[in-house]
Amino acid sequence: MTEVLRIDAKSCTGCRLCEIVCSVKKTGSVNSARSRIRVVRLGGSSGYLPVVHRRDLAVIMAGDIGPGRATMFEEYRRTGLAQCDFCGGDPACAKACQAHALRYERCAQEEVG
Amino acid sequence: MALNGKLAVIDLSDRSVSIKEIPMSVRKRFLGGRGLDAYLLYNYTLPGSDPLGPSNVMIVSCGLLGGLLASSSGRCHIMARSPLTGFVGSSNIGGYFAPELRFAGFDHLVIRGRAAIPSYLWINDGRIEIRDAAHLWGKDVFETQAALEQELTDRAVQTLCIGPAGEKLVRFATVMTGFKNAAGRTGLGAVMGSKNLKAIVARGSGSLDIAHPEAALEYNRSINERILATKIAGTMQKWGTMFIYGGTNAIGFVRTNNFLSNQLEDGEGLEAENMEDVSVGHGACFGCQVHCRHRYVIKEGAYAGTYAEGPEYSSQGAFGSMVGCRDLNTVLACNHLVNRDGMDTLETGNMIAWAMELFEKGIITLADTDGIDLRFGNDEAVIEMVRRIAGRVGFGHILAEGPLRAAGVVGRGSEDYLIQIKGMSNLHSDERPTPALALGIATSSRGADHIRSRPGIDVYNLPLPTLERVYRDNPAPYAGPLVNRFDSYEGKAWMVLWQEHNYMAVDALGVCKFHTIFMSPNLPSFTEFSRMVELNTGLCLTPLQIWDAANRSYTLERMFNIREGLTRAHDMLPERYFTVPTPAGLPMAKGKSIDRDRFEGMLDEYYGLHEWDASGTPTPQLLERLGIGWEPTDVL
Repeated sequence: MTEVLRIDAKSCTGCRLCEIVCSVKKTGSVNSARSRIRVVRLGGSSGYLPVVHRRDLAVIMAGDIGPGRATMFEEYRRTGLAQCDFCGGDPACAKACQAHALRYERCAQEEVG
Repeated sequence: MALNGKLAVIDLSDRSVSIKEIPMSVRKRFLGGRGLDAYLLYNYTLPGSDPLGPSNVMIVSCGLLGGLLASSSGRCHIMARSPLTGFVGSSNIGGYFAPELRFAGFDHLVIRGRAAIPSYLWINDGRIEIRDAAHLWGKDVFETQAALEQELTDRAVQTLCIGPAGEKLVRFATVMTGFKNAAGRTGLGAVMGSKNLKAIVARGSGSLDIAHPEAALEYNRSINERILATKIAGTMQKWGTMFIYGGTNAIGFVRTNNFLSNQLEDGEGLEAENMEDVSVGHGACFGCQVHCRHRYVIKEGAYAGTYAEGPEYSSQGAFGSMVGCRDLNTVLACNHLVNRDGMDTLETGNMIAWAMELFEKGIITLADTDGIDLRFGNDEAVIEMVRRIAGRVGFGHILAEGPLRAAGVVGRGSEDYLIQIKGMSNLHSDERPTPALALGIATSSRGADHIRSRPGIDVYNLPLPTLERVYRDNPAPYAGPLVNRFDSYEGKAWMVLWQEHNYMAVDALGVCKFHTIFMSPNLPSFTEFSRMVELNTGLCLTPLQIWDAANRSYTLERMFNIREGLTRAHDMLPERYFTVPTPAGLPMAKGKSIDRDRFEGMLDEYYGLHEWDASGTPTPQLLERLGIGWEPTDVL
């Protein structure tokens, strides 16, 4: 078993409190750019998507919607799982998210892949 | 620290930008947001400035707690002299713009002059550029924001902009961000349009240092838990403000057919539960866990398939009960149109409702309305009139001038049918059964309005100990009566004044009114604000100091209005509130009108509690105590 953040994009309301608390917890300041998690506005009825991995952010935040971004969205939607350092087992983002778009859970290693 | 944000004075005429520090002494006295805006408006605007001329200033700000750990800290405030009323133009807007402005290094913008060509402001990490916006002129609100994201190659920019209504100087045009967040009231979009300013775009990577990070995290979590534990928040999470309609209409608090009734019969089609069919989820403003914003796709009619956000309770009235329409699709379509084109939903609905009553009474005819059949309940006519007002087409051109000017053009005694105060139309609420709410709309500094001073909890007839907890000595001393009956005139002046201070504090701190005592007595107010300020910024302000700061700013708004010609006569209800009893509703709401003498008595009491004289002018003693009389006007 392993710990994961389970992301339910459909429940995300785009409030970005996860970004705020992550950056405050890690840096003592509010700064989305220094938050491990970022909320991406997908546009229109598609809603929002919390994204954890830094490697994906550059692609996401770019103006154009390229194939890399689309693939990554698909990956997030498929698994809904992400990993970070989890604030020592008490992830600030999941604790703050009252919309239950983020949950800290244990799951089988195979599910994470 | 979090309070390093600067003030930028931007002159669009000579394209200059001057950046200034905001002294801590000024922050302590006016906090930020609307509080400090009032100070800036008073000092940067010359008396009698043309609201649509270059000498008017438009102030854009975040609150003292903007972007910080304060439950919902994304509120942005905008102020100017109103082209609708000639008095304080002031509106508060949710979304994400204010935090982004702060991340970019600015807490307040003072914008004056008029750009020679359509322009937008690009505010990016301490730099402000005035850029060409000719290619954006004519675009609607959604197109403008998308085009700017594309142009700046950054999906995370946050934009305030106007739509076609603002460009055409519709006197109740809005400033918009996102799909539905609107600085809706008092016509600030027209001010922006008059300055040839299409948009303000912010992007910042700066850090807002929290004074006590761990404690602030914990306190914010506990405040959020407390907010979400209230019935009101839980309901808002599912239905948004639309939930209000079912109860208020059932009682008879909903203005219907302009002012002909106080209850829409067979109005179930407008109730919030109908959103289940069209909703695709909810949206939230920055940091907010209440997420009261519906996200929906229109299913029927000319706009089928269109994505939109909202509507609020105000639109249920504006395009529902006030115009006698019972089809939620009309509300959804009109909500989309006013957001797309950038117009105030309430003023738009009021103007159409007023015209409909004139039409039904034969005061205007098809010859006046360009052949549009303006009978109550004509859904297609309502949608068409929204389009025509936004485009200033035909009769819409007259309605786009707002209530008093439109009545001046129409003549024929039409002014008597307006439901306006100080030149601004009211929410679709009917305050004849509720004296406290009536006093609130009469005295609000920006005209008829429900979120400047409304003691919303008064209509619950709460247990007296609850009212005592909220209103007695919290934090300012009060020894007068408190009465837990909404039909009473006793003690209501204080409740209105208390809410005035509370909402001013909320707007100055940059948090949301749904997170304070407005519709629930169990939400945060001064004591909690004091703690939030200390943990986030390190600034120690007692609850009473925050109250005093709110009082100072509200007094400045009053002084601004007096400077522009306000008298006691402007703090007055429409005549029909006194002369026409409510025809419908439950016994508690039916057959009610406001007693003129008791209202005047309540107004006297309200002035007295404010330390204003009988004409409504702040006394020299009050100004001295608040330090406004000696406030140096050149400090910023």
